[in-house]
This record gives sequence, C-alpha cells and structure tokens, in this order.
Amino acid sequence: MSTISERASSTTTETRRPLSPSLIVGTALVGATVLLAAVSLVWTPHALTDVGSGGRLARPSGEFWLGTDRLGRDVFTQFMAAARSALIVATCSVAIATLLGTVIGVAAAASIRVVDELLSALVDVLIAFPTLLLAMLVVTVRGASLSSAILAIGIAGSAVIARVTRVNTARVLREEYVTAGIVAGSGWSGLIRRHVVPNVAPTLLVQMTLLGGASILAEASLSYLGLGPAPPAPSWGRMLLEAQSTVSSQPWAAIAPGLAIAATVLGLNLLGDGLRETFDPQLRRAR
Amino acid sequence: MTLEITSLGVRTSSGRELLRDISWSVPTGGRLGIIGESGSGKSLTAQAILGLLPRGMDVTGSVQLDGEEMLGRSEKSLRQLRGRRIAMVFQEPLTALDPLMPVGRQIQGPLHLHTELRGAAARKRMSQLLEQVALRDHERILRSYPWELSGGQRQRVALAMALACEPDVLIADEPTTALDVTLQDEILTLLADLIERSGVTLVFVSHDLPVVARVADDLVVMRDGEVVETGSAREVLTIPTSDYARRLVESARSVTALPTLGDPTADEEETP
Repeated sequence: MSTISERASSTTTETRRPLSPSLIVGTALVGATVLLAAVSLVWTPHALTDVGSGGRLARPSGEFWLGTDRLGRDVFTQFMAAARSALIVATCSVAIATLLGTVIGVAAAASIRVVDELLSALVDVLIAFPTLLLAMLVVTVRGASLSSAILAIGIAGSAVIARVTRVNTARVLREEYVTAGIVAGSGWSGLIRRHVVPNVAPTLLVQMTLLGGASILAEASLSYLGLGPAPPAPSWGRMLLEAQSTVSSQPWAAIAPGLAIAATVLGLNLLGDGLRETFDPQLRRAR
Repeated sequence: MTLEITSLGVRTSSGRELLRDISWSVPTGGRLGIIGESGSGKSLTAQAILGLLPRGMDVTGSVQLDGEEMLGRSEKSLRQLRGRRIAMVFQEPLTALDPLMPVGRQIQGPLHLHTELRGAAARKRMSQLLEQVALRDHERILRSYPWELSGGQRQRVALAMALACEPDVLIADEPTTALDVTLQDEILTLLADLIERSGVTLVFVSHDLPVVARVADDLVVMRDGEVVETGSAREVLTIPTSDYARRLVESARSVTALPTLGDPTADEEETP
C-alpha cells in the first residue's frame, strides 16, 4: 500500500513543471488590480463624489495622493474605484462571450456542413466588424452605460471564443477516443461532457484570459470616446479623457490610469500565456 | 451470438462504391479474421456493422445480429447495442483513450451506460476486468492517465473497457498493429484466452496474415471493397483459391513462418 502511494506521489511530482515566469508576473499584475478593486469596496481615501475640501485641480498631497480633478474630486479615489469597473467589465463580458461563443462553436462543430458554414460565416462577419462600431450601435440603441459596454464587448468577444471552440471541438470530435465513446454507447451529451469539455477547456481558459485583457482595453477606449458608463461611474478610460486637457499641468492624473490599463491588460495577457504553457493539451501529451 | 452480413454495400454521397456485395457470417463464439491491405474496406466493414459510417454514406444490404437487423436503426437503439452487445478495440490505444481522463473513469464509462453498477460494485467489477486482462496493481492503474501506462498496459485497459459489459460480439480492428512484436504476441495470447473463456464472438480485422492466422477459425480476404475469398483459416492458408490470397500467403510465408498450418490455433510460443 505504501509503495503504491509512494509511486503515485512521485509521478505527480515528476509531472509538475516549474511555474512559468509569465504566469507569476501575470498573476501579480492582475492580483494588484483585484486587490485595488477589493480595497475600494471597503475603503477609499475620500467618497467618490465628494467635491470641495481640496479645491479644484490640486497637486498631489498627503490628503489627495493624485491631486483633485476639475470638479475637486479626489483622483486616487476614482482611480481605485475604476479598477472595479474594469474588472466587472472584463468578468461580465467574458462570461457573455464564453456562453454565447461556446454554444455557437460547439453547435457549428457538431452540425451538418451547411449549418457549420453558416455559423462560421456569421462568426467571420462578427470578427471583421470593429468592436467599437458594434459598441456604438449598442450604445445608440440602449444608451451609454456599463451594461451596454459589457453587452457590446461580450458579443464582439463571443466571435473569438466561438472560433476557438469550433476548431477545438471539431478536433476533439475527430479523436479516436470519441469514436471509442460512441462505440461504448455514449450519446451526444455524454460525449460533450466526458470528452469535449475537458479537452477544450484548457485552450478556452487561455482565450478567456486574453479576452479579459481585450475587454478592459475596449472598455477604456469606449469610455475615452465618451461611450462608456456615464459619470460619476468611475472608469480609467474616462479619467484619461478628462485628464487630457490638463495633461501638461497635471500629468499624474493621466499617467496613473494609463499605467493601470497597461498593467492590467499586460497582466491578463501574461496570465493567458502562462496558462497556455501550463495547460496546453499538446504539451501535456508530449510529455 | 451470430453475426451475419448479407450483400453489404457502401457508397459515398458522390456515388463511389467503397464496399460491394460483402457477405459472411460468424457463428456464436466463432472467430472470424478479416484480412486485406489498407483501403480494402475491412475497417469500413467494421464501421458499417456498428453504424459508425460518416453522414451521407449510402448503405445497402443487411447486417444481422442474432437475427436482428442492425442497419437503418435509430441512433438511440444503436446506442443501446453499442458497448453492451457489440464492442470494439482499436488499433492505437493511446489515441483511443482520452488523455485527460484517468483510465478507471474510462472503464467505468460503459458500466455507467449499460449496467446498474455504481460505487463499490463498479470498482469491484473494474478490478475483475483488470484481472481478466492480466493487469496487476489495480488501484494504481485505475488512477493512472493513459500516458502513464505502457503500450501493452494501455491495450489491456482498452480490452477491459470493451469487455466491461460482457458483449456478445467483439470487433478488434488491428489491435496489435501499433504494438511491438513481443507485446503483439502477449496481447494475441491474451485475446485468444479471453475469447476462449468468455465465449464472445470475435471479428478480428488485420492486414497481417500471421497475426490473423493465430486467432481466427475462418478468414475473409478482402480487396478493393470486395470479398475475394472466404473459408476456414486452414483452407485459405493451405489451398488459397484466389490469386490475391495466394500472393498474400506466399509473401507472408517468405517474411515470417506462419504458424503450423495443420492447427492454426496451436500456440507453441511461450509467454514471457
């Protein structure tokens, strides 16, 4: 009995590879944003809409770490709260994209040729369609808000997820172990649950992470264009827009949200790469 | 369980004939070898029996399992037959087993689909199956992923999975081709032994005449989608009537010694 467990544990240590640097750095960067957002839920230096005590366009001080904006609101407080919006947008739009994308992707891969080609064409059109243009359409219909931004980014992202899911599902369905499952008497739902989902999930997880980064960037762009959530809802993109006119006298008000967007997006991309290195079924099998 | 195929034909949607007028039968507990080069249609025949042909292929003729027609069945009724009454072993166990699933869960698959065995009872049955395919260290094997096992162990696991629900017919599609020669021998011996004990009807598909000759009572020789010769293994190996079968026998004999033709099932090889 002891030999069995010994051998089992030695196998697991053999198969565990060192964590990739991109995974570590990516986790740290994303972790920092998450921490910032979490802290902003319970504590911020000032109230978000608190106007007045520091005067307008104040320089950074002990009380106002990044100074105040044109209305006299604390910039650092907005900066912290905006991390929340960024993460909400990333999470919700990735959730929408994944839900929509996997359904389309699996349906395309499992359907007869005509349906597959129709769905693939739809996905191609959606990919070719600029996200910002789509977002403007959604905003025109629904009005500028956080949910509009999430919906637009989610729909645009679903095309990417659908394409990745379709290719990978089709690959898995061609595998002999799926045929073996059919021969054993499995039905469609069983095959999808037992074989397709576990084998597609690692690649999908990587794509979801990368899409999270793209979503944050898209939300920042929308807000910068004034198509994001309306004030006073905090957003790094709108902070950039507002800081633009005073960038020569108040560079920090633009630098902070700019850096935050860059760091979070970079973090998510690195995390995606790190996950790919860790989970890729090809790499796993080659071992 | 008799398996009887009558005038089986398969055409692609564009009208190309892949199988023409295939007829043969295996009696209950019989062991049929289908031999032919790649592209001769032997694997396609196996797929047609199981209803696995790609969409759009046109199938004619009849495949009867103990008098019941297999062709034209609904997907649902096929699902009830597959794994329970007809099972299959594939050529390459590494690709026929899911790389991300411990083999225990894979063997459990057919048990879950066709039997009431769950939990401890299922584990007991799996242990029994591994015993049957001569694997030891059951706990470890069941927990292992396919890539953690050796080629021979993997094919034994695949066999255990196929035999899980005590099927009446086992279709083995080149089950030893991907293995090296000593392993081939082990698996063939095991297979012959399993067939003997369980009384399962075997359809053994291979391009390798000496291999087929070791397990089959009867042979079907296929070429270009047609049956060119049928007969007992002994007849086909000693007095092949078709040119093609004669050439197969001659070339096989020039490369390896065929097992003693008088008794093709006699197995003088010792198991290491």
